[in-house]
Amino acid sequence: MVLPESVIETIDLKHVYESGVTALNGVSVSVAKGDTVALIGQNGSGKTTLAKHLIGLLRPTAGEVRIGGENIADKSVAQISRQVGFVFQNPDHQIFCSSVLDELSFGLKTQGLDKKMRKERIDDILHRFKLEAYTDYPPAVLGFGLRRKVSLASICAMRPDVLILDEPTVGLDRRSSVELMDTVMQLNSEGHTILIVTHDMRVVAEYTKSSLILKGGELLASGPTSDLLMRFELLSETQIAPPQVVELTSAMNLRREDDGLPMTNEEFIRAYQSRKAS
Amino acid sequence: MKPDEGKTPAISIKGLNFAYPSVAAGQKMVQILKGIDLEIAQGEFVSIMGPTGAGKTTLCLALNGIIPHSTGGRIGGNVEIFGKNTKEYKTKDLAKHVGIVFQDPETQLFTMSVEDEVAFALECLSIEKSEMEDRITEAMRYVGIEQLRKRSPMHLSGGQKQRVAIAAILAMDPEIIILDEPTSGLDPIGTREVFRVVDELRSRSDKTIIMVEHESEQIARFSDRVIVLEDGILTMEGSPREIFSAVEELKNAGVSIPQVTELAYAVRNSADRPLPIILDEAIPWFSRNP
Amino acid sequence: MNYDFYVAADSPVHRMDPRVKLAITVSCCVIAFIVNNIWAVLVLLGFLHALYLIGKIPLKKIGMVWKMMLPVNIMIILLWPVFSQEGSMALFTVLGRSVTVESIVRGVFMAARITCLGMACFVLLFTTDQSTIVLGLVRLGLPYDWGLTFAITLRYLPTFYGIISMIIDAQKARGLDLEKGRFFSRLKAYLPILVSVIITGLKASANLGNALETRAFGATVGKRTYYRDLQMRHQDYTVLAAIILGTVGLTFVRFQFGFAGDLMHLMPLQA
Repeated sequence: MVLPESVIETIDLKHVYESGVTALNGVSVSVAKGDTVALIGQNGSGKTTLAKHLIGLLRPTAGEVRIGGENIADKSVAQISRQVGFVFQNPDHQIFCSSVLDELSFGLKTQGLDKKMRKERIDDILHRFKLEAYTDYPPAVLGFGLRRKVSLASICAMRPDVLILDEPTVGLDRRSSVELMDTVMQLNSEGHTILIVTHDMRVVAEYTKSSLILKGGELLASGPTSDLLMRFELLSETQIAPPQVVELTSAMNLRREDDGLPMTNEEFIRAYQSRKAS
Repeated sequence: MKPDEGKTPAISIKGLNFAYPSVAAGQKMVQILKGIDLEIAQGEFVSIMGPTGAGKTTLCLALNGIIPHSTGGRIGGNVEIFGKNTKEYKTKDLAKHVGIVFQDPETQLFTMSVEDEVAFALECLSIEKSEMEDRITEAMRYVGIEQLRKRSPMHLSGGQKQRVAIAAILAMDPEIIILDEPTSGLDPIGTREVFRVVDELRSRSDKTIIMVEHESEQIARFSDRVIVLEDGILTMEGSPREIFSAVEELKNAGVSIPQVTELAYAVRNSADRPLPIILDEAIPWFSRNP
Repeated sequence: MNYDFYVAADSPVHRMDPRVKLAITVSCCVIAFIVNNIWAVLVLLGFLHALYLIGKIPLKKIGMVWKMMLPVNIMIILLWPVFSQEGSMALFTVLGRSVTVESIVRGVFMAARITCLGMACFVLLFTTDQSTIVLGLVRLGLPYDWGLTFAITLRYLPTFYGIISMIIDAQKARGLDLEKGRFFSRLKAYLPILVSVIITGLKASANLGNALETRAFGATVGKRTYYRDLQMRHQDYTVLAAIILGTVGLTFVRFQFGFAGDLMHLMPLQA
């Protein structure tokens, strides 16, 4: 068997804060290139601490973080940011330019791209995020949904191999979150690895292939999302409620063709109709 | 609960318009609320849904006079709280009647201990110390934070913070409580804690409650009535079952629908069959779908 | 770093009336200014540390104050001897100016004096929670609004620092390099952070204003009531009397007899 190339790897990662709190206690995870991964856990489980290690904003007390096979201990955040894009939860923390256009070109300038390359990238990203109409607006005065898009777009413009999204759908209405996640999945289909830190279990079920569940600074479970969402006792241990469709399918004992648990609307409908037909 | 015809409505909104000079549009006035008519009876639980930027928070702020007294902008139409026009009463005087729990816990908890937080409004209202003690204890017990009394709000979990905010409002004993996305950004445990308190308020108090939420599954459980705001216009209004049954309209509005309702809508054979809106209804519904 | 100042504990200093603690702070500042002697300020510094220890302030917190005062102290100790041309015992020359023993001692003295001022303020801040400070100030005649403003400033200081460090993180993640380049280009790199901090701060203060109004702030008709009581106890009066006597007495001997008026000698030198 050929193991998939892992783009993120942590080895026995431990982090103790200055206050003495152990936030991560020996976490070893591996994320395969091109995967979509959910990082799940309650606040205080260590998920943000783990995510911040992946771009070097926090450094391990012990253990190691490897991005693309290389230990990042000696790299600066600015260097790592070429490989790993981190989109913060609050867009206001990450946007600061006087126009959307400047915002998108900021990272490209720090990457040292020439004008032509920058324009190419920016046009592409404006189109993807449907931001063409807002190029000259100051991002700070746009609505929340648009600010979220701009902050995500400004990171995506840099084309990092790995994209880490911290609670991307919080505060967004259903349409905006679906739109945003579809754009992210488009990036995934082009080879970007996606890691989503989220409490939104519908996003987990509909968009991620694998999940990492943290509890109390330790990795409680990891594996395919469809397997983990079936393990109700595991979820209840972390006090996470699966999306309604999962509760419904398990109550009705519905299965997909591959015997997995239907996790999305489409999968449910297919499983339900094939049962009715038989 | 149906609006009680005999009583003065808790809230009566007629032709409410609100425009605000927008920085994005070069200081031109942008119409945020466009002719809202809404009456809310005493004791009713009304949920407001709508896409981001539809004017939900603006509407909430108009209910205790923050709009337009503190924000400026141009207001048209009338908002009456128990027959009092908010144009004639300042926010501070309406505060006794309308309490708002805001979305961001950090900016609404401004003291250094939980009990000071709950005491703050009572001090402003010149409540006597002995009565204050009772009210504070009662409000804390109601939301289950007695053990946090001496703690600093800064170091509490998100769910605890929002419960402190609710207690601080409850201590004033307002007839109307507005919850503006109270669980946005909380983790599942915190969300559950807050909704437990909301459920308690709904079932055991005679308060009029208005909740802005994206979580349709909670709205389906709690609400007497749901209204949908889109781009400053009240586009839909009805019982949760009526509203959530209009799956196509809600999808167009861009708001969330309970997942079980979406699923039932997709597989139902007859348009007459009522759709389930909560999980407990859904399981028998699907088993019995012909 | 933790910017939350108040240390919840039960100690004689905590139990003291905030007005008395304020008197201690003010007296220590006054004394730090009137004495002109290295030993006297060192004793004062010792006294303040003794208060911290009685107040059960963890060493980490005391270290935090030192850390805050450190940049100023280093500047004073390094620069004072170069620019002050006091005394005659020249040790060496820097930038063509001779550095004397007196000027070095003077530098240390000035640093210790400044440290005393900071330490004196923290006696109050470490051992008194925000609302008690405000209440104390209000009882002393400060308008409530001012007191509240002061309290809210204290309350949000840690939050504000938290936001700043979060913004710095968020922007580093966008490739903003704060360590590269010379001083001025580094300073320029901080500009975006300032923009985000201002935007976030403005939004937060608007929200805070709404929250205050919603909690009936400004609705007070007549007198505001207070949940907490302030009651001067016997001990408080005793301490207050001791502070006043001590400060007045010291001022008297300082100016009447020149006690602690010389940099290195506690007792006045006979001319």
